[in-house]
Amino acid sequence: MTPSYGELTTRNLLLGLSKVVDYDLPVPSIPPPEEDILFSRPPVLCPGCPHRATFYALNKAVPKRHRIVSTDIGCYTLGASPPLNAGHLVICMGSSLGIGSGLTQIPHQTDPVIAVIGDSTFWHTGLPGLVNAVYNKSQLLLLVVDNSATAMTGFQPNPGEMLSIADAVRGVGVENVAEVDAFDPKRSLEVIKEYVNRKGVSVIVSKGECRIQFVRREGLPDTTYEVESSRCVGCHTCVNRIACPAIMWSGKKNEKGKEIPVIDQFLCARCGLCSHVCPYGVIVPKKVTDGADK
Amino acid sequence: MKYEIFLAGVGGQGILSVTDILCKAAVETGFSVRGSETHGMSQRGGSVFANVRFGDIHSPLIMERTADILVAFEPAEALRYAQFVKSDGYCLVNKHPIPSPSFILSKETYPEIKVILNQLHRYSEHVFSLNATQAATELGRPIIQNIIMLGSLSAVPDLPLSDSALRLALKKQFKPQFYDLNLQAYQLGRSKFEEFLN
Repeated sequence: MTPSYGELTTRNLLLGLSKVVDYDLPVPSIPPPEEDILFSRPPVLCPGCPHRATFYALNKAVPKRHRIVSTDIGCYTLGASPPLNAGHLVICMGSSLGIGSGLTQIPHQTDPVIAVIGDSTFWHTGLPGLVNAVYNKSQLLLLVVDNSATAMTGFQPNPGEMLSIADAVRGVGVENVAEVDAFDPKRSLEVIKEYVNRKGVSVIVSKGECRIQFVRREGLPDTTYEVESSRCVGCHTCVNRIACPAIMWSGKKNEKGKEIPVIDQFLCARCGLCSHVCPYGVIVPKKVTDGADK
Repeated sequence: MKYEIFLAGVGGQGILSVTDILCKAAVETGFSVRGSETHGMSQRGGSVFANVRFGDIHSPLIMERTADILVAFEPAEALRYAQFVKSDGYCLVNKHPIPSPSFILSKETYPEIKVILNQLHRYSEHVFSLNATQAATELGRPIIQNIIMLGSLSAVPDLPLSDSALRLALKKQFKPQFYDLNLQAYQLGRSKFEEFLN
């Protein structure tokens, strides 16, 4: 009949109906591709996305191999892909807390369990799961990635405009509550390290505004970032740790023959995360005068 | 009568704005209209498509091999959705390539544009391409490549949306200060396509 997985497209529906009614409905045939030359184009976190910065800090604080990350529905779900790998499972809105809390009940499971949820999903269906986690005394770290926006679906309003997540979390009985600045990964990393080992439910609200929303309102900052190619050692930490879409291969090599990355100035949203990531400090700020025009 | 337009490109290219303009123009013309767009994963940088159907229609999705027009804002995305245009339909392509962010972590590379355009001819008799991004950059705003493509689309023979209906919808879509430049881009795309027809 109709396929058991995939998308129920008009064509698939017609094919299925033809069989059900035993009548040949006109279904267009598709010419097969001559050769498969197409690449995949998976959606990615935008340049300047605060979630990338939060996950970078999480990865430094809690080793990827020794943790379980239960994520949720929103832009941050994209953080599950390499190289951030911040998400082992996701089902539906609000599931990060229910599943995360459930995972902590597994006997002999000693890896820390981290639930990730966005601000608008938290208000949508996060609270019931959180209440339950508190009630069950789950050993759970909840990371609320608060970008002050319902970004993925197009900036619909949400209750976060008038309510504080930290207050709500304290209100249901969570004692370990911290707020961090997503774009200060050094500090975030310290807080995550400390909170992941605390008893019971802990909550860290990582605040960093959605870059699209920020740039629409404020324009781009007048400080951009560049790779000082003459000093780049070609370690590729920037590429391998954060994979920002604005970081590309320059096609140039250094004297040791290592490829050198370049920051595409059209795509760059000037968040500066890469300058924190570069272990050699060769990604440097640079004043520009083009202001908000992009 | 029914008319179907399939739009494809990369998230952030202004595909949904053009979809909006087409829907508004069709409504103003008096058609029954259904528009549909990729939701959720339509992040910047991902593959995005939208469907516009109007006239005697009941559902929002375009079936393979039936679209009157495929307008693609990026060449690889044209090929990704080429099966949706009908064989005597029009395929309009911005041939400025956008590499996938996944390239940096994988071995994949961008195919030759010439090869992509050749493959498109297997799906449609009328393949029109121009480097709209380059033209838009010359106009001063690379982002308005989408309006250049809209201009080209406006000149497709037998399109049931008039030039004036489209211009009016374009005017309503953006802030007034952008209208002059947008109109310039629209005209440029329109005249390029008229040259192609002759």
